This record gives sequence, structure tokens and C-alpha cells, in this order.
Amino acid sequence: MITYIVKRVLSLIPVLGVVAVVVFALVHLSPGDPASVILGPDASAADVDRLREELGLNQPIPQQFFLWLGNALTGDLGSSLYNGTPVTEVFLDYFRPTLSLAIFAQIIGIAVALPMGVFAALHRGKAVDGALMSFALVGISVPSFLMGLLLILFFAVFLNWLPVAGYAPLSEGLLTHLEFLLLPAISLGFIQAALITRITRSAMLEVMNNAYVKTARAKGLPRAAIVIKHTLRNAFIPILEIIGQTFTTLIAGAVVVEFVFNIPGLGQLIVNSVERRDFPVIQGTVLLVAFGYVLINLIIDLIYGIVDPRVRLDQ
Amino acid sequence: MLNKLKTSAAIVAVALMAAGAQAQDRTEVRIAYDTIPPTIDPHMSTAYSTMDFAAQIFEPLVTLNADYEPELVLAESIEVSEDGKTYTITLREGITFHNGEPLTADDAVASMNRWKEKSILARGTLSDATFEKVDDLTLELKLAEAAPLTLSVIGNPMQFAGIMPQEIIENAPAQGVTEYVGTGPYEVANWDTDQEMHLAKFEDYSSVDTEPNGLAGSKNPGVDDVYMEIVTDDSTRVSGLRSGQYDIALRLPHDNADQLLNSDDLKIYAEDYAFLGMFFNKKSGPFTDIKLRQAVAAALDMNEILYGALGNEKFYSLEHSLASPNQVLWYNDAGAEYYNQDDAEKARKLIEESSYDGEELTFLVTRAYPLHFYAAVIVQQQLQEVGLNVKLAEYDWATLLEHRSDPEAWDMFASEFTFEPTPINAIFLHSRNEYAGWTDSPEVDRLIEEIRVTEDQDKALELFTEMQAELMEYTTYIRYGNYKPLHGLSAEIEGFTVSNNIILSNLSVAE
Repeated sequence: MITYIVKRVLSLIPVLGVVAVVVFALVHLSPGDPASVILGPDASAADVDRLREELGLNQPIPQQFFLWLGNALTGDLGSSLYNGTPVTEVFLDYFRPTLSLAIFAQIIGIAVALPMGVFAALHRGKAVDGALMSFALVGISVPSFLMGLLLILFFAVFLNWLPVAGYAPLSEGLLTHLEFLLLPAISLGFIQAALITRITRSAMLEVMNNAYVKTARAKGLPRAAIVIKHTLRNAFIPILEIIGQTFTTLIAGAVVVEFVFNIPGLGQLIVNSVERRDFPVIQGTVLLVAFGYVLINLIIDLIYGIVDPRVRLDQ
Repeated sequence: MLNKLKTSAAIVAVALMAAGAQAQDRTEVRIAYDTIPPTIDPHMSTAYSTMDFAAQIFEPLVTLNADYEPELVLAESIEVSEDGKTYTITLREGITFHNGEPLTADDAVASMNRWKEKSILARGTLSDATFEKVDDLTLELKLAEAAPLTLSVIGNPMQFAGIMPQEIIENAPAQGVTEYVGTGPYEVANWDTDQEMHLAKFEDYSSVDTEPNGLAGSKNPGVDDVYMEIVTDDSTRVSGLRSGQYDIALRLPHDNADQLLNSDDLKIYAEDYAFLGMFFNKKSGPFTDIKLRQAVAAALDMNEILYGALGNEKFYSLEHSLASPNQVLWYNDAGAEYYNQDDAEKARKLIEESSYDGEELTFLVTRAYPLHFYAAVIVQQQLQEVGLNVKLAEYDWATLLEHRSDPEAWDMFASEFTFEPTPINAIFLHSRNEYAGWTDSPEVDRLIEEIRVTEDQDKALELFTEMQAELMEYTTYIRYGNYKPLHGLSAEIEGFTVSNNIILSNLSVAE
């Protein structure tokens, strides 16, 4: 197990190396520079050049890359060109809303999807199965921004129960925090729920046909025990996989939902930084997101081993 | 039953009282702002968003009123020497910065010198001028030659000369100051970059006592806190305004006007703000040929373009003058024959006479400014109809700025400009400014220089009219017309105005 973890962690290094090179190249080779954005639409070319010089953007790109890489290896990802805040600080500020939203959306997704998937599998072919699967199809098909706008219109504008947009940190109280996150979490969780429901149903069906389930039934075990202990647990690997995958995409920033609900999360940070070409922030954020992505995948793999002891991680 | 009724009545009464108390207690206003300002430092940027934020915090020595005349703000008096070359500026006594330090001539000199170095307008018109301290409350501006428009330049609201403490100026990082300490009616209580600026009423604010007028006059906020929340999504700003989460929502899509007007709780604010138009590349490519520029001017139907972009005649006016109709000192009709011609035949004839050979014409545009994009689509269509091969090159804002600085990369670009208080200072006129498009008309340059030193306003207007005629014939740009951005407000909000930038200094909530 420990050898496995060490191996996996070491394999992160080339992945992050490639990410670093690609992001740096993309960011610096694409047109547009921060100096002209800061100075505004009417600035003269001479002013833009002067500010570029002052911000250190006139150095050759390979030199800038190695300078950045050297600092990054010591844990210094640089500072925002736009307001001088260290990138790691900016990242953490924007990571918290994203993490809250991701967790909340995932809880909603799982809470809705697992019972629905199990229920649909148990009533396979019946009307209720059809209804639940149509619901899942709608969930996958409706884009999150549309869902978000509809939720805003109904719950925030029409009923005036919840705020239209914005974000309140946990420090302002759990209830206020959740009040702002509820609608965005539902619009994200809806898609998650749809995906997880479908996977849960098919995984359940696959396992239900196994001989040991029939044996359990023949032995006269209670239905709940068969469903939860024997079927759901064995069907859990693919379900866990889809939960892991969807969670990592949520962590990488639910850009559209963050925009519609004006949540200062990672998605918004990346888009804003790209728009104003805040190079250090783009590079640092993408690198940290990539790191988080690989890390979550590692954790999910480790959980496989716990859920299903047949999975031997160190082989 | 009676008891039940009584209880219900009591509950309603309590609820009404609570609501009443809440209405009276409303001392904060929430504003949904549409753009992230690139900096809050007014000396640094020419972006309108920077001015909207900075103008609440910083104040200049002089500013311009609604008629674009200079009025004193931090200056108590300004005396001009007989030869017109020396301005003695005395500061008002007892003004303190938000950090509690008193305003002195050192601060004013440091700020004005930094501004003079950064501002494009100041560099163009005050390049040889010096600001020097005389005593604690007095400074002197010395000019190389007399220039009657000097106070209009110092008071210009774009990239304005806000006064900051000397030590902040001296320690300012390259990308602009990050400590926002001014003398304005609001101080920055908190600024979550990209998210929200909390402006708190500055208790020690020292106001002038003249009537509020444009950017000038007394400032007396009727609220304690203003939250400028950055909400970039259009529909979110509209929904937030309708639900009551925001009291003011800026720059809403014009399609929403009827929806806002139909609500008793809301009102709109829409006043002339800027002109929409496009600029030609006169340094390289087919538009170096004046005939081809004139062909474009001949082809376009401005009403169709503006109606298409804004969807409602209420929000635009067909105007070609460099000055807005309110700028009575400068407004004139010269060059009308080159505007809104909608004459396809003339356009085709001019194209034939020009050196245009059917090559692709690149029209730079960005969806970051939706109106520019909507208008460009119609322009493209109208020009295609007369035989010009126009391609829309759509980019994000930063890419557009980069391409725009390269004369080989484009032929036309879409833009807008707010009204320049002194129209000859519009950056796209004088060749010295090297503004994208590279206007290079010796005649226009000569007239600008002449107007700048002309004391007599009638003579200045005459020269200006001549310059405008010259400019229209030269066709440096195409002006579609003037437009009004749509701002939505809660019906209770009073004292909100816009004059180049938004003015929040007399904001109040009606009880």
C-alpha cells in the first residue's frame, strides 16, 4: 500500500511538469498582454511598453519560464501582476467557495441519486423506472446555466426566498453561507444526480443478476439486507468512480454556474485572469488545480481498496 | 372568529411597523457593477470602470460641471498671472485624507507630477509645465506658453488628477497604487478584488458648498455604506435588481427596458453618454485611400445600425458633431453632408475611383462590448451590399488591444468614446497621440494647436467648426451616433447621476 502511494505520488512529477510547460507556453504565446489591459483602451503604445518593462514582461520567454519554474519549485508561484497579491493566497481565497459549492452540490447529487438509482433498478421496466430515467435524461440534457437561470427566476425573483447571486463566507454563519450556495448547488447537483442515478441503476442491475444475490434471496434474507449489504456495496465501485470524476470537475471550477450566480470561485478566477492576462495567476492556478485533480484521483483509488478488498493496490 | 381577526390585525400591524422601521433604517445601497476595473488608480488607466470606482474615493483640484466648465474642488482659489503662464493654486484648509493626515501642497505636487507623467492628455498639453510647492497650502503651475484650456485639462474626468498622500505616490508599485487613500466623500472600507468594494461614508469629509452640478458642487451622501458588487453576468444583474438584492444595476441590456419600466418598484436612468462608431487604419492597408473611407461613409445607414444594436429609438440619437448637444461652447453642424448618407450608388462610385481591389477588410470587434458587436454585424452587411469584402475578426478584449496596436493586423475597429469635455482633446484627433487608426491630418493638428491658445471663445468655435468639417471630409472614423446606456434603479433611490462617470456622492434612499 505504502509503495503504491509513493509510486503514485512520484508519478505526479512528470504530469505537473508537462502541465507547467504547456500552460506557460499557451499563456505566453497567445496574444494580449496585461500592461495594455491595466492601462485601458486609449493608452499609447509607449506607455504600454514602459509598463511591460516595469512588470518584467519584456524578458525573453525561456528566461521568464526558468525563473518562474525555479521559484515554483521552492513553493513560490509568484504574485498577481494586477494587484501584487501572492498567487497561493489568491488561489486559497477562490478555492474555498469552489470547495463549498462542490461539496454541497455533491451531497445534493448523491442524496438524490443513490435512492433513485436503487429504486429504479428494483423496479426495472416498470413505469416508475421509466419516469426516473426520463428525469435523469432531462438532468443530463439541461445545461447548468439554464437550470441556474430558471431557479433564480422562480426562487429568487418570483418567490424572493433566496438571494439571486453572490457568496457569503462560512465566517458569516453556516445558514447565510448555505443560503447563497443552495441554488447554485442545486443547479450543479442536478446534473451530478442525473449521472449518478444512471450509473447506480445499471451497476445495481448488473450485480442483481449474480448468483450470490439469488442465493441470498433464496436463503430468505430481508430485502433491505440484500439490497444494501449485498447488492449496493458490490455495485459501488463504478458509482464511486463516477462520483470521483464528477467531483474533480467540480473542483476545477464550475465556471458557468459561478458566473451566473456570481460566486468568486476558481472558475471565475481563471476566466478573469485569462481575460486580463494575469500570467502568474493563470499558471499557478492551473498548476494547483492539476495537482488537486491528480490527488483526488489517487484518493479515490485508495478508497476502492477499502470498499472492495479484492482490489489489490500494490500489485 | 373576532379574536382570530384581532390577532391577524395585530400581526399585520407589527409586520408593517417592522417594515417601516426597516425602510427608515436603510442606510446602505447595493450596486451591481458590470465590469472588473483593471485598477482603482485614476492616474494609471483610461478605462471607464477605473473612473467609476476612483471618482468616489479621490478628488482632483478642479473638476468640470455639467456644462463642462471648470469648478474648484480641493483648490480654494486659482489665480492666473497676467501673461497666462503661472497658475497659483491655493488649497482649501482643513481637508484630511481618509488616513487622517491633512492635505498639504506636498501631496498635491506629488500627485500632479505623477498624473502629468501618466496622463496621455497631460503629456500632450502640459508636457513642459511644472508643479511646484510654494508653501504648505499653495502650489504653482508654470506653463511654457499661455493655454486658456489648462483648467479643463486638469479637471478632465478621464484618467483624472486625483490627489493622494505623497508617501503613497512615492511608494506606488508599477501597476498602480494599491492603497486607496483619497479625500473623497467615501473611503474604502474593504475591497475584495474582482468581487466587491465596500465604500463607507467619510465622516471627516469637507465639502464645497456650491450646488451639485455634474462632477462639481457639494457632496453629501445620504447613506452610510455603498457596496459596489461586481456582477459581470447581464441576466444576474437584471434578476438581482428585480428581486431587490441590488438597488442599482448598471449597464443592463437595452432589451430589458420595458420590463423595468413596467414595474412600480423600479425606474431607469438613461442619458447621453458616449458615441458609438468605428475607426479606420490610415497607416496601412486599403483605408489609407481617402476615397475608400469616404465610400464607407457614403454607404452606411446609421438609423438601421443603431436601431439594430439598441432596439429602441429612445436610447440613441443621430448625431455626428464631435461635441455633445449640451456642450454649447463647441456644438456645431459642420460636415453633416458626410454623415448618415445611405447612398449606395455614391459608395460604389467612390469604391471604383479608389484603389480597392476586392481584398478582405478586417473589422476588429469584441463581444466584451455587445453593442459594438451588434452594430458591427449590421455595418458588415451594409458594406457587403456595396461590394466591400468585410470580415469580422472577433476577439476577447486583451487580444483586440494587442492586434489594434499593429497596423498590419486590421483595417477597421469598433469603439466608443464618452464626450470629451474639451472636444479638441479627444485622443483620436491629433497625430501626436498616435492613437490606433493613426489620424494624420496636418490641417487638423494645426487647427487644434490654434484653438488651444485662442482666448476668444467665438473665434475658438469658428476654428473648431472648421476642424470638424475637415475631420468629416478626411473621414478619420465613422460615428454611428450617440447612445444612452441603460441603468436600472430601485424606485426609492435618489440622487444617482452620471456625468462621464457614475456619481454616488449625493445618493439617498427615500423613506
